[in-house]
Amino acid sequence: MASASTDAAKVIKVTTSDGIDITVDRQVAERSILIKNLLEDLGGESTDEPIPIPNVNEAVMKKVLEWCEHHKADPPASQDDDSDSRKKSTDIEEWDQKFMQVDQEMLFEIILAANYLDIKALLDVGCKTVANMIKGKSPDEIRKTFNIQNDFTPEEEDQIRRENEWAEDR
Amino acid sequence: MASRIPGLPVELIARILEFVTSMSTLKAAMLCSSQWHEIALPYLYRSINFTGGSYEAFPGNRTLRDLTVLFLRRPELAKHVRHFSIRPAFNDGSNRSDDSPEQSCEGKRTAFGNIEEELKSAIASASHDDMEQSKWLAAADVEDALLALLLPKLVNLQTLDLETPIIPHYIETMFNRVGLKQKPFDTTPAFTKLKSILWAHDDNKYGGNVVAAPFMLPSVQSIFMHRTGSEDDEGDDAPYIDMPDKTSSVTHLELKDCRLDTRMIEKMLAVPKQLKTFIYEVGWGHLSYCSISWPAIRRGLELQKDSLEELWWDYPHDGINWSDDTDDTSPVQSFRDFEKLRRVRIAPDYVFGLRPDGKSYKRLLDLLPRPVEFLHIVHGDEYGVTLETPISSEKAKMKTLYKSIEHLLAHKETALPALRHLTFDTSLKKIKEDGDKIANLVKLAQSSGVEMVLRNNFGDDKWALYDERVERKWGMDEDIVWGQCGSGCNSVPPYEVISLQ
Repeated sequence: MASASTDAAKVIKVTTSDGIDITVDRQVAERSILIKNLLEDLGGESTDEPIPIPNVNEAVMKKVLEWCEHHKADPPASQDDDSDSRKKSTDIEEWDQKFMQVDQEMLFEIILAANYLDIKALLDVGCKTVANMIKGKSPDEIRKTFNIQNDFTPEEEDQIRRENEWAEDR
Repeated sequence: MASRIPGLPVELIARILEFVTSMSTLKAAMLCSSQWHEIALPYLYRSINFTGGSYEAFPGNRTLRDLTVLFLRRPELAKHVRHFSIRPAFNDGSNRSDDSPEQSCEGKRTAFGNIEEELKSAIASASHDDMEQSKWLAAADVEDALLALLLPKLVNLQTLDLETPIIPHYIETMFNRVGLKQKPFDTTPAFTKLKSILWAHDDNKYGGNVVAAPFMLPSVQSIFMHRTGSEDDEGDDAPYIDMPDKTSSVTHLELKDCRLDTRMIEKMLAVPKQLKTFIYEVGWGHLSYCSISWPAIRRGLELQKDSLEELWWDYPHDGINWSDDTDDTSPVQSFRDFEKLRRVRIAPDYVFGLRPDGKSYKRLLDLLPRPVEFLHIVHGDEYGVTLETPISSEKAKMKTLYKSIEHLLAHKETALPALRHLTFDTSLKKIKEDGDKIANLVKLAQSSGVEMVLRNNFGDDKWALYDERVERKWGMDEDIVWGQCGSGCNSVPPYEVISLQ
């Protein structure tokens, strides 16, 4: 009995927003704090029931789990959420850089999924990738990237430019 | 065609912008839309690293003046600033007499236009009398005068990295008034959130003045000073006199290449409630003509014996000359009662004094408290090397030093059971001369369970590697980064680990 329940705890199932069941190692899935907390709430209960993940589709979930698989042995993220002490470096390790070489739609979907699933390290890698992507871009280019509607009048734009003249890259 | 790119919520856009360090990119982000303006603005203003200032760069003054006026006009922007630094040292106006007529005060006034109403009003409310007000107005294009208005407006400032020029009048006056709660800081306290400050001085010969106000700030944790000094007998006018003992929240006090008179250092060590880290690199006599008393420093530390965890007591890479006439160079008393002291870095001079006798070798072991884990002997190659020292005396002193380490390791098990690491700074020349003795110490350390590391401090050839020198970091682990010190006095050749094989 004991060994059966241990085995059962090793893999879990998640159901994606498009109704697909994915079987995954529990250790891998637990990179998601959302899933980890859900499993803990279930306690020692059977985990045969798939966990519904209504905000993430199969394609994105598979990509996210690929990242979780590669990082399953990483030390757990620190709870330090103080924005001033967070690592500001935009360095991204090589594997993650390659992992993030996807089209922009998928990149944003990964960020949204990482946020929903509460995978801080993946969220940071995604955000750093976007930060590097917009580096040196003009307002117009950033607007296109994020699909932003400009609601400034030319006068307002002018004033913002003037006010922030002091800030230059050194 | 409708975009398939999913929209990101505000908190995720903010998270992305948090990783953007380029000011021009943040500015571009602010121009995208009113929503993006709101999200990006705090990131643009959170850290201001001002590099526009220099004696020559009038455009720098213009920018600093723009920024000062902007913050005076819109204090809500100033609230976003958490870190401010300025390099090189700001302009104090002391070069004005050399100005050509077209660059004179009047000339600059014309170039910059009339003084903005915001500056006039800020100067009026900060001045203590009409004379000060008119002088301050006349100095309104000098960075010193502007910074004294700007910095107190940064109400959420957490770290301040300042390198001061030769005569920083307005900044010093402002800080002294903050400390003494004088107008306008009697009703509007400033720097209430400041945790960490570097107060450096850019001159490589003479030091700058000590400003005591940081000790009195309510949130301060770390104070770093570089190239500052005090004179003997500053009397009751000294700005630190009003600081009551055991009242400051500072836990980390680091004085690199500083030279403080007896009263000042005792006061500085008395004011913190619970000092955890004390680093003092006693600077050369030129820096400030005051005497140095090692027993006074030790007396000051006695007040911190229940909290002190780390002590680094040193003198500069380039060396120091002690004066028999004025300095008190008696060896320091033991730290045995310092129950929290875990890490010690110290130069042999302080341990043994300048005239060791036959029993002095026992002093190193006697100096250390039982819980000590890390010991680092700095300047281990030049104990007793002064201009007047005869070679025979130098050899005797080095013998005392080596014997003291041997004695310490022999008694490690019973007297210093927690000791596990010993670093010994020396030079290749000394390794050549005393290789057998040093190798014996390494062997002894090994058998006592102490990891011993030898470092080459290039003490035998200090100037040959001048071009190789790099700016030092700060803190006991030398992992705290501040702006580069313009004096050049905070750079040393990178010390290298020596392998005896």
